[in-house]
Amino acid sequence: MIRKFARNISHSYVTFAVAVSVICLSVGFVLIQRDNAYYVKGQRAAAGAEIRRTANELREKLFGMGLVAERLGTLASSAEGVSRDDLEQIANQLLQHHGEVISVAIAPDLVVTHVSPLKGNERVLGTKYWQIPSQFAGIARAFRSQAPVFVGPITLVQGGKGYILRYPVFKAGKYAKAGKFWGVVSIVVSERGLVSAPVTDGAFMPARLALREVRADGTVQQNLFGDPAIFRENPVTEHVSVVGGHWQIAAVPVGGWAASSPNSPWIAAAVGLVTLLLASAILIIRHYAVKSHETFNVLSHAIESLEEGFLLFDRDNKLLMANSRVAEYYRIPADKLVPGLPYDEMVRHAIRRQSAGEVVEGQATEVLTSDAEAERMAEAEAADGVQQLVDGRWLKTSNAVTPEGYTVGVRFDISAQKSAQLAAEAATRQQSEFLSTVSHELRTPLTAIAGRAAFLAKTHNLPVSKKLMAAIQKDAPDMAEIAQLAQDQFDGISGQGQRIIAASDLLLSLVNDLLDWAKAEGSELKVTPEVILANDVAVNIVDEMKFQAQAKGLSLICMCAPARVMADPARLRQVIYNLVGNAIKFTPKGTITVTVRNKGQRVIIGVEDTGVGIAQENIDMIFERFKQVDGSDTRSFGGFGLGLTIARKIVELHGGRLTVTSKVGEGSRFEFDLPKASAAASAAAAKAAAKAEKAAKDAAALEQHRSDETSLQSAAS
Amino acid sequence: MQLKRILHADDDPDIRDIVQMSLDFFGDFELTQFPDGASAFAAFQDVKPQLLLLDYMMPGMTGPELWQEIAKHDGYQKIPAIFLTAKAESSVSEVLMLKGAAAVILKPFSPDALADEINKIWESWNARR
Repeated sequence: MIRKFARNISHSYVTFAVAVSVICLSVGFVLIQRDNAYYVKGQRAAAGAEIRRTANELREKLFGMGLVAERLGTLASSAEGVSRDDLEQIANQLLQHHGEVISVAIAPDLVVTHVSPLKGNERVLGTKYWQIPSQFAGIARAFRSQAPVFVGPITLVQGGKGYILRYPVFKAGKYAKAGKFWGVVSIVVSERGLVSAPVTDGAFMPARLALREVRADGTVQQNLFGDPAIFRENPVTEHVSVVGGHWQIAAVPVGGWAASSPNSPWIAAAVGLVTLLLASAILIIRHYAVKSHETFNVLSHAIESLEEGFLLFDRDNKLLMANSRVAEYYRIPADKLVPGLPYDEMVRHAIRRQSAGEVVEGQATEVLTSDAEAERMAEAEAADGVQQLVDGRWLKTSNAVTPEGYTVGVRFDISAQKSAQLAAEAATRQQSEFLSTVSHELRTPLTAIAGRAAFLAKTHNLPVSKKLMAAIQKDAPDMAEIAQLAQDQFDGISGQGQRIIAASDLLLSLVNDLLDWAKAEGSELKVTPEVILANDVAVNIVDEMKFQAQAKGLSLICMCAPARVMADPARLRQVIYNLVGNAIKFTPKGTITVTVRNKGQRVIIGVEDTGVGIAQENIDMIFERFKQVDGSDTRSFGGFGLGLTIARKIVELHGGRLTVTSKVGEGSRFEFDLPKASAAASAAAAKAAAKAEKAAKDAAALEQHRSDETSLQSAAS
Repeated sequence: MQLKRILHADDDPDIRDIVQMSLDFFGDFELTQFPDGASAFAAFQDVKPQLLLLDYMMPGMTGPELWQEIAKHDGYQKIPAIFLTAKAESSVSEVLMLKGAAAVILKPFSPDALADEINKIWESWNARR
């Protein structure tokens, strides 16, 4: 249970740690992605700036070259023509601003007549373009399109490679309006001069650039600069339209677009570190939490395993902890006895449970006592006490307040001690009651004996004595009167004596009962079974007690079948005498029937009356020592209440059982069984009886013989 | 005032007999006896007793109950009650005396001294009043 709980906690923390790690890593991933996107965005911005710069530069160059070429074309095709100086002047202006321009040449009828600067370009003079196919192709395209064409890089006549702007010149006007092709103006740009070196910008690598000419429909006319593959590398592009042509510039960073930001490793490392720290922290917390829960569980189980009820309340008297003993003691459902339950509510639960018809009124009072205790607990008073539960058990309550203000309650089941204490108190009370009963019952006949004896001791004080004395002392005594008075005197004395005897018999009977009970208690009561006729014993008792019954107007009858039993005759007589005596005592009118019958190997002896009967709840009580059903000061019947206790003990010593069935107002039936005497035992008993009878006869004969002898001797003397 | 009329209630015929003989021989009283509290209560206004001589334990109505019932009637609120009891516990006597009994006589008593004792109790009772 502990391990399971700890494992659950452990799993929760591990799951939490994993979740936190996943979240951290996800956040890190998003951060890296965003950083990458930002970085690439920066790259594209830088590349965009680069190609815009390049485009502007290109636009400016081509525009400038276009203007120069147009001007030269206009001059050259005019009537005046162009002089060398004009060319030099115009070319120098261009060269001043564009160092990358190698030469400017004029070729009427496609033969170079002028070139500027001349130095370094001497070989160009006299060049017939149609003789150089690589050069002618561009001129032909310019002628066909009647528009300037920028081509390259191609091998230059003056050596090396470069780009050439071919400006077609038509005599009658410009471009398409021209009627007759005059020639071409060519401006040569060095291979490296078309596009200046890219500018590096901060963290971004230099861009790689590519330039191509496109047609109006978007198809590629020619690649002019850079690696055409750049156009397939998701480049930043810029369109340039100048001097009748369309160019597209593309740029990608050197090394391509970044797959990841340079910050990515740092971000990844930071996220990893944070993840590690968080996961570690959670796992460390988990470790202590598991330890803490294990400790809590061990404590809980220790408290649960206590045999005492344990309660812990916080400062607000709300339940923090309770073991199942408490639920059991107060009969509170386990699902109700949960942390946070206020103590008074707990008691209300208990009251609800206990008032649901399970309790007798007196016990419910004990619950209310608990309510009062709840108040005491609420005031954090360490009130110790004892309370009785609805099931009759006794609890000792012990409450203490911790330094934190919490209330700790312990409930001890002291039922055993309490029962022992109550039993001891009951025994003491019973003993005291017994002594009181003995004293009272003995004093009653003793009062009669002592009182009557006191009169007998002073017989002369009796009125009849005084009358007798007066009659005797008369001068002429009347003998008849004296005889009558003497008779009265004798009758009086005799009457007192008989009453004294009766009271003495009662006293003796009480003393005998006490002795028998004392023997029974000390296991000294013994029986000496012999074969006797139970019906004889019963009939004799009925004969003896018939007058006593008749004196109360009762009829006492015997329905006794012959039954030979193994029993102690004196003790059997004592039992039947007691039962019949009780029946007479407790039967105001009607009949008392003594029965003896055989039942298998047992003989059943019963005494049935039509008396007051015994309530069912008192049936068991009648066999308890010193108990009478009516033990009050208004009881109608005296005695110790030992008779049935002794009778039952005697029957048990015979191996039988004394039982009673009764109905209030209708009467009672006491019944006990005895073992039937076996044939062998009966025969032995009969033989012994015959022997005893013969011995008695012999003794009588001997006595008669002696008497006869004495008579003879007297006669002789 | 001379004591004459005594109401005696006791369920034991022997005790009634001895008390009667005792008070007849050794005193000069008009003794009226009853075997239980109920019959005594039914007849006490005819008897007009000056003193109650009561057994403690009786069937139906105990001696103290009979005394209590009689004392509810006019002229009998202060009637002295002597209890004859075989209950030897001092607690019984103490309770009765606290309730205002004139005396408690423990059984067995001396028959030849009973009349004198009752007379003394009577005188003492009247002296206290």
